[in-house]
Amino acid sequence: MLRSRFIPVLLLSGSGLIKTKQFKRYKYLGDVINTIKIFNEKKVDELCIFDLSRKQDEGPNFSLLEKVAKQANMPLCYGGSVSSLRHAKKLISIGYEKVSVSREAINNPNLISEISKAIGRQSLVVTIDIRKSLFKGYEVYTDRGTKKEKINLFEHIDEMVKLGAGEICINNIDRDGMRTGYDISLAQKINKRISIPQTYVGGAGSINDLIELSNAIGPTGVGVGSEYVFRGRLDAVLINYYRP
Amino acid sequence: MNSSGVYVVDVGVGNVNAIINILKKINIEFNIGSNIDDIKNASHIILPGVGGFSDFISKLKENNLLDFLRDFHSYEDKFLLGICVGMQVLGDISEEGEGEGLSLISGSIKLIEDSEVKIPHMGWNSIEINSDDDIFNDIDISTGFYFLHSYYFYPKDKSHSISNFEYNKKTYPAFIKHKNVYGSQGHPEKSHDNGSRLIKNFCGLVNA
Repeated sequence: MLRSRFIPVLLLSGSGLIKTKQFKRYKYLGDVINTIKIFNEKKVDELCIFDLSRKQDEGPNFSLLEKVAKQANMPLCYGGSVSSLRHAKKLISIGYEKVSVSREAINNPNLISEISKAIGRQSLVVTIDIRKSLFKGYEVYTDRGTKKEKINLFEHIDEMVKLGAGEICINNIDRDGMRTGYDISLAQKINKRISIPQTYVGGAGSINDLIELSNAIGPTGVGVGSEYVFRGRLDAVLINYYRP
Repeated sequence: MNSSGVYVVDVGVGNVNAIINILKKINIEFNIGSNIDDIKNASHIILPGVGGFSDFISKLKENNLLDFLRDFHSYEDKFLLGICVGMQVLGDISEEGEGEGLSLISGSIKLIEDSEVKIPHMGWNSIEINSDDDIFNDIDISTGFYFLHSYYFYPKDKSHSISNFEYNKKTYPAFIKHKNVYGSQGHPEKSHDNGSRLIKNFCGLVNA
């Protein structure tokens, strides 16, 4: 039976990992290579890395990412300033199964069909950062939550599926680091709407939250941040992994 | 012809690093590249592939590997393992793209068509094994393997599917085999312990 994927979602800043709260820097976690080694020993289902520190025109930090991939006997997804087909192909060649595109999917939707054709739909993730507004419903953001895009979330998702995305990753800014549970009704709505896999990030605070999302729409991608890197009331850094 | 050693075919598409990592981890010596003479000298050949069917076939052609691979059944002391798209090219034709496969295991590559499931088939899936083949020694079937694909191998002869996975009550081949040629739809190079064991088992296969 196909199972839900319980995925540590790690945020890279330089060569270190950080954790955010509502997309604002919260804590430094440690060196990325060491952390990946530990997650590899814990035999995680899949692992997702977003680099928050790359400038728009820089592209991914390939030399670091290659070292990271050498530690991983599990599938890897990378996102962060991926803005060309060359970036995507290079990531695949250094050991990433999935490439995530976010801002460029909005600025240059043709890139999505271009990458999809070249590396295959299964390896292309479109990540969408969202916030829920009291009056306007869900709004799409880019540039680490600082820029509000004038597009409709659901129309954007539909377009990405049509252009060849193999997975949609929804990153919930309001719930980031808050551990208040996933936005289940949004997950259900998207899951009903599209025929490709999804991963939801933002809100995981306990094993019950993981179970709730998985039961609601599973098998699905269940992205987890704080829960897999912190322990205790004071959020002491402790890399850990569990799945329901 | 005497042949020995493990060879990872790298024709410049997709990811060979993951396979290399596993081979190092399980202390198996290997060579890597696309040199036809070196490949001919090897006994266990791994053919990893990511991307499109047509792309992969044309890369094999560019590197003058097609004739040797199409002839693989005649090298009885050698073993071939195709992974993901490397498995799909073992067949005859594909719905995904133009070109003729290696026709080492007769079959066609089809799109998974099931409106009740998400496609691509993505994630860890358990498998069932219907063969006592040594490649499955110590494999934990409930943990299974990591899969990431939209197309599957439809073998002409059902007995060539030596292991299946289930997706929405329908079964699809997880591993195929005909004589000395094996194919893996999932990604053993990204499947933790099961993956390492399977690669190790493959590299230890000997002609009975």
